[in-house]
Amino acid sequence: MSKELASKSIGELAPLIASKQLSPVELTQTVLKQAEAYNTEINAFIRIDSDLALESAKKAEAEIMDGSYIGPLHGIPMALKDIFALKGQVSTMGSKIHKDYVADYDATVVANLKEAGAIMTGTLNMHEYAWGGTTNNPHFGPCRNPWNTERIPGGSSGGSGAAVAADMTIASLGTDTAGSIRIPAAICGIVGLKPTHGRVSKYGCFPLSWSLDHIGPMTKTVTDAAIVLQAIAGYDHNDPTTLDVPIPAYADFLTEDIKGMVIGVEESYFFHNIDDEVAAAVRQGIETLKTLGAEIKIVSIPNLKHTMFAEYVTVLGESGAIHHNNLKLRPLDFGEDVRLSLGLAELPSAVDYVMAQQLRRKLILDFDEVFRSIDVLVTPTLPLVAPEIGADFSIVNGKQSPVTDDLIRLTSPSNLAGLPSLTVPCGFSKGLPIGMQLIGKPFDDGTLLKVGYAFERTNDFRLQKPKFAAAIESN
Amino acid sequence: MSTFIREQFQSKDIHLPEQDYEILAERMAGLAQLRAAVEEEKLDDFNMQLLLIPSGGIAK
Repeated sequence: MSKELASKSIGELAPLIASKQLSPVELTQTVLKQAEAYNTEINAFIRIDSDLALESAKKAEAEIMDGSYIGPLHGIPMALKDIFALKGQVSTMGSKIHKDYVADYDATVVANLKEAGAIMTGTLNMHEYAWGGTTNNPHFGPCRNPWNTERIPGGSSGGSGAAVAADMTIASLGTDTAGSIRIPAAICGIVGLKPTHGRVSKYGCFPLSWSLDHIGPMTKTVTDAAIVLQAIAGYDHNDPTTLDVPIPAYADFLTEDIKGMVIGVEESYFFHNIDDEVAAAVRQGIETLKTLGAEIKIVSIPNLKHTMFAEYVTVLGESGAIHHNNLKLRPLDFGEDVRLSLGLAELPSAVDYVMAQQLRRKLILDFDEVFRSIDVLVTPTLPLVAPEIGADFSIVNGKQSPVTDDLIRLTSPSNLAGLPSLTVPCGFSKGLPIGMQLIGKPFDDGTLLKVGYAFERTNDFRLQKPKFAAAIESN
Repeated sequence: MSTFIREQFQSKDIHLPEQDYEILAERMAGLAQLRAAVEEEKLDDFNMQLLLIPSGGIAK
């Protein structure tokens, strides 16, 4: 029963907790045990907070037994990417420079989750300062993909992806500047949602690139993503990038009826140079949506062609400003790859940055036009499956590229345009998960959840589990 | 390119390990390739929609 408990989703566990059939203390103990047992192999956690978690679980249990159940996150263990301010606890940002940083407040998303009754079990490994897509962290060690421990879990929220996939946490939060929620979610075979820019407060989250950063759920199911988003969505006066837009009841979108919806497919960018098996799995996913009653429409988004310039110049400029002083004062305290990125950040001109912002606007206008005739755009989340740990280059259909280019090229358009994007598992290649990306209109995150949920109900990809766990347990 | 990069860092009093400069020169060349495609683009400077200037204050 214990192992089964850890593999369950919030949607499955919450009714058991609400009806007092399941103790939050038992659940938390089970999840902590799993985290401790697997962390040597996976290295998903930077810190496991067993004592604090059990204390919170006991408090939640007392509240529930007292008749004060507050909602689906009450008593649910969650571990978060180590990038959020946690009152009185260390947040490292995956770095040496911030290894002892203790905030005197909780990030807004952390406060929201605690208020919803979630139990914080620890902090998760990540790419240093979120500046990369591999989670090959020089200070805390590489995080490994549970599906093949020689492969990366993606990043920068790699610990979150790996921990959810390996049932070391029930759910997590990640951050996403060029795909850092969706990349590890797709590569680890889980659900990842990058909400609309302005939907979720970033107050208390260490920035990588202010105009591109997002926070969102990384979960086992689409239902769970809806539950977590409900808890963290909303305007925050501490974050001027949030917008005061009404928050719908995301659970209301979780129906299987997508009849008549129009699904857009863009071929020239999103299906250019995609691994054959990945492309086939995503096209099969699109066929499934068609079978469910959706109409497929081919669309064109011309300004996607400048995605990589706009993304790189923006993230370089903004992250360069954030880390400029430390690059000057203590360059050797950064890992080599991040130091090189921050070094590169010092070189593009102000003209480059302004042109990148103009290109972003052109891309936003393109998307505005396209979304007049479609409800959701469907693409591969990544052009490939998980690369090997330490690989600098990836090869897709014989073409070699820097691995980071391949990791972010299909996810970054949504960051540039601030559009909501959801990745859901849609198959496997060589034993490694494949993700299908759904991109939606601004603040129409609910429609993505609706389509993702309908698709999820047609397959059992989420029920398949990495085999590394059985190997550990048999020893 | 390598000389330009060194001068940039010297002017900012940033000192990186020697091996970084060659890698940075390669990466700047990659960025220049991306920029070349952008420079072929006609960015319409009269199109006010392409500007991100706050008007009437920050988002509320």
